[in-house]
Amino acid sequence: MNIWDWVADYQKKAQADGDKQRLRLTEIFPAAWPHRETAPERMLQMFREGRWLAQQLDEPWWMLFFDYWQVGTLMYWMRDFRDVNDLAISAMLKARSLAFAGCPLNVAIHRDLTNYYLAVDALGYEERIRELINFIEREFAIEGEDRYLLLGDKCTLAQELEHWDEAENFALHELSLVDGDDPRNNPVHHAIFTYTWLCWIAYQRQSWNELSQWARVGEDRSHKAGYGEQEAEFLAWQALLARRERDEEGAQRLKRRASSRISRLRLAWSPCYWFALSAFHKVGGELERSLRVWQRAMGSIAGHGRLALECDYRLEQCRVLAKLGRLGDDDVAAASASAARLLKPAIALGKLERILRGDEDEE
Amino acid sequence: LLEETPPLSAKHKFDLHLPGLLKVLAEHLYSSKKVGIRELIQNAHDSCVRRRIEANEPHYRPRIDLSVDPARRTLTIRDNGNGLTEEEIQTYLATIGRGYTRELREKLSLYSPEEAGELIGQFGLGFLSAFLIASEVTLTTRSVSGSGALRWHSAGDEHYDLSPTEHAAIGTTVELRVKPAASFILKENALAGTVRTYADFLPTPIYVQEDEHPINLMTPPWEEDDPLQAARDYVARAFHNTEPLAVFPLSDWKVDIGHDHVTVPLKGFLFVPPGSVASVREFGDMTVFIRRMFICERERDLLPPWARFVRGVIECPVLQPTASREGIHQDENYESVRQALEEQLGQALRELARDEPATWKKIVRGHSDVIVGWAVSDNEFFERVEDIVTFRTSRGPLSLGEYLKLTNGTLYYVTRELGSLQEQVLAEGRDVPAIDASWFAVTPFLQKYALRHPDVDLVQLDGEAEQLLRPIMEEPFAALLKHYREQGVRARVAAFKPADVPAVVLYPQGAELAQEASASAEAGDLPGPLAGLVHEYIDQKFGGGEELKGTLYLNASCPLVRRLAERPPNEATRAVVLTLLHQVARLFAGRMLSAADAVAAFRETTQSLEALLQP
Repeated sequence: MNIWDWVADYQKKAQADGDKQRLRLTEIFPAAWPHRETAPERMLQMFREGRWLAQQLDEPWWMLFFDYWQVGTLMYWMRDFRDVNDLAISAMLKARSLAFAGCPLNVAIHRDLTNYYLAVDALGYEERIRELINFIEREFAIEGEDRYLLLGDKCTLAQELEHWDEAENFALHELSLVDGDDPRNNPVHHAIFTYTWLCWIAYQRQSWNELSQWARVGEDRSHKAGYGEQEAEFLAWQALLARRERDEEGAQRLKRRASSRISRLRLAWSPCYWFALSAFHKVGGELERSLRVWQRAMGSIAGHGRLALECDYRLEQCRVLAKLGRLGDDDVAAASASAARLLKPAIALGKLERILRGDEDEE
Repeated sequence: LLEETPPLSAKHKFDLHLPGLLKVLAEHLYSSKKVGIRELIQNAHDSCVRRRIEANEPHYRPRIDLSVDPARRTLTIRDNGNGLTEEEIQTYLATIGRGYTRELREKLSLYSPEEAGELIGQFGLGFLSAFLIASEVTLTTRSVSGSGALRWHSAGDEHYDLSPTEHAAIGTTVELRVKPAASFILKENALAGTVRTYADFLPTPIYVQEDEHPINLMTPPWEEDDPLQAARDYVARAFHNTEPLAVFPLSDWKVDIGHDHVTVPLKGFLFVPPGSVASVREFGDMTVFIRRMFICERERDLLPPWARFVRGVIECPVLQPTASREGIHQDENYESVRQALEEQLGQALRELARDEPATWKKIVRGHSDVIVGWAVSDNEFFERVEDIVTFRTSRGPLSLGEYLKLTNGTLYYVTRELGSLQEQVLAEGRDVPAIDASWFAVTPFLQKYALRHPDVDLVQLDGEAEQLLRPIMEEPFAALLKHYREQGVRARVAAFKPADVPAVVLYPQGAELAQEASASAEAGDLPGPLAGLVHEYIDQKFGGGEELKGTLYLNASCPLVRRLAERPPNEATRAVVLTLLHQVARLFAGRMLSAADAVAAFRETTQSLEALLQP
């Protein structure tokens, strides 16, 4: 039984009992979800209210659900990791108690811990992440939607390690599950995210034809499903490709569409969007604009606990400043300090060293 | 025989199984049997409107009469509308899905849209709903066109009888033989309540049990001379004597739909009830009328989610009812209406806050839980309420403005309902009240407030209560601290009020979670990688976990503690007293104690007292 079957049963019973407060518990998620891209803080607030109500009604499963949804909102929509670890550990401890045996969220709750480490400092926590993934696979029967989630974690880790072939294999495996899958497993949702990874992998390998293919299909799917952020990302990749092919008019049109789509959203835009936008400006020789991209990107996540990403953005800033001939001591110091907060700073510091030596010449 | 069988490609006609259809209507289309009354009243009203439109009778006075006869188990609905001819009965009454009124409205809409708007019928299903409450229906009618009177009778099966009859007056009388399951309608009060619910705003007067006054208002509040007063009166009539704090009339509203603007026709009003209780008694619902006929109440999606302190009554012709007319289709029009309501409410609240601050204050205070919850996620709304909304504090409800005057710019709050007594006592010792932040939205509200006002400090007492203590030189108390430290107790000395409290034990924020995690790991409940993760979490956050044991703060302001330091008794007595102080402080903290810990603390207390009593 997945969580939605469980909720539907609960809802029927509450309706039959005329229990309006318990019925309200079942109404909060559907009311909150539409706010995910445009007002995620409101979604969080609604889940907090749900948690409070569940506590008043002495409904431990619902308390756990709302804890889990709060973690998800903070990680995936608000992208603010400061309080995530407390909440995720608390949810995991609850989920492991006897009262929650058979809880349909068990895999997802354990997986949130993996995701926390992946987002905060994937290289530093590589061993921990691998242990967690292996543990989840050993401990639970991985079926339904959980198959996508586990493959997604493996794919993300491989991307962070820059193991592109491995990452691609995981992504393609995930896509192979989508066709004909039960809609209750959210195959479309997962496919859209897989296309974003395939675009990123293709960009890193500079496989422009593949990037074009995945960006187009991703745009189509995300548009139909109403995933604004991902649609903007796919459009931004296409804008970059058009500019590379010297189709300036098409490039500008695609970029306008991407900007228009993403500017409606009130969440910290995805790293891939910033990379695509920065690359777009670099290809057009607009280094000042590229620099502004990284300044904005930095502003969007600063202080949100994303240590590795902050470091990446600092390095990108340094990279552009070096090209502009304006890389100053303060910028280098900020990047070094950012790297020093990571568990394994040597990799980032190595990249910084190469930037300082002028060895880097990507794009 | 083969020749008589129609070829497979021939056109066939649907057959209708009326009893089956009635069962579908009764069990699946309509959720309430009362809808049958609504449909019959509406038919009667439409009949009156048609007579006014189609027959040129300047002195015509439409009316509808309802009466029940419990002894005969009958309900009668009589109108003096235009009646039906035999052809109309055959074409419309007996043809399911074909509505005379709808066809007339479509014709009229071209050249007389106002008159078209007065007609309500739509789906041609309404008359069938009589069988929701009746086992038999008898209709007697005489048409205004001059044909003879007719009697139509059906027992809800495939057949009906139609015959000439004597019926002097023009109009239609429908007599229902009420089913046992619908007996409630034979009570006069229930009938009157049903008529008021569904037909209060119908312009045709409706009389129940031959009362000399019509039971329905006929004119909706927004069409009265004094719409605001009429709206207040209507709220008292329809919403259980609620005296609203404010009423906002609605009007047509232009909304931006992206590529264009459309004007949404709106009538009605919004109002703010005196108070709400979050998640338990919230509002944010609308009662919806279409063409003056009640469609539904408690419609929750028309108002924005933050407006759970508002209710309303709306009449809007662009909303599309469902086939049962007990709900509304959530189509593009619905979205435009929702947008129009949100914008109009936002503007009305802004104007109220500006022009009637006292009323605005009453609203914010009466609905503080709901408003606090909303304001956290909306900056503009937050600005409007931040200094008005009140919070529960250890000195009763206070606004943040009032509170901050008492504390010189610091917000002290406790997030737990239970076990916060120690923190409240410490706060009161410093002569500052503690804000009760156990309601989920209060902490984020206070955090947002502090963020917007950099001069305001924020102290979570359950976790940061050290800030209420004044650091002090340890040296005069060194012997006491040494005693504790030798026993593995983290101990410090500080000065705090009330001076009657000799010691407290304080724990860091998140201590409960860390303790739970640590206990699970130590009990072997967590498999390898999870145990490692938990240990790492505790190490990073609580410096190896020592802090989790709590810190005992001796109160240098307490005469007893000072005496123990300055004029210590013999070593044995001092040890006993210090043990007592520690155990009392642990129990007073009310946190981080398992049942076994509490029993152990009591045991040590008892043993210490016994030691003192030794000769």
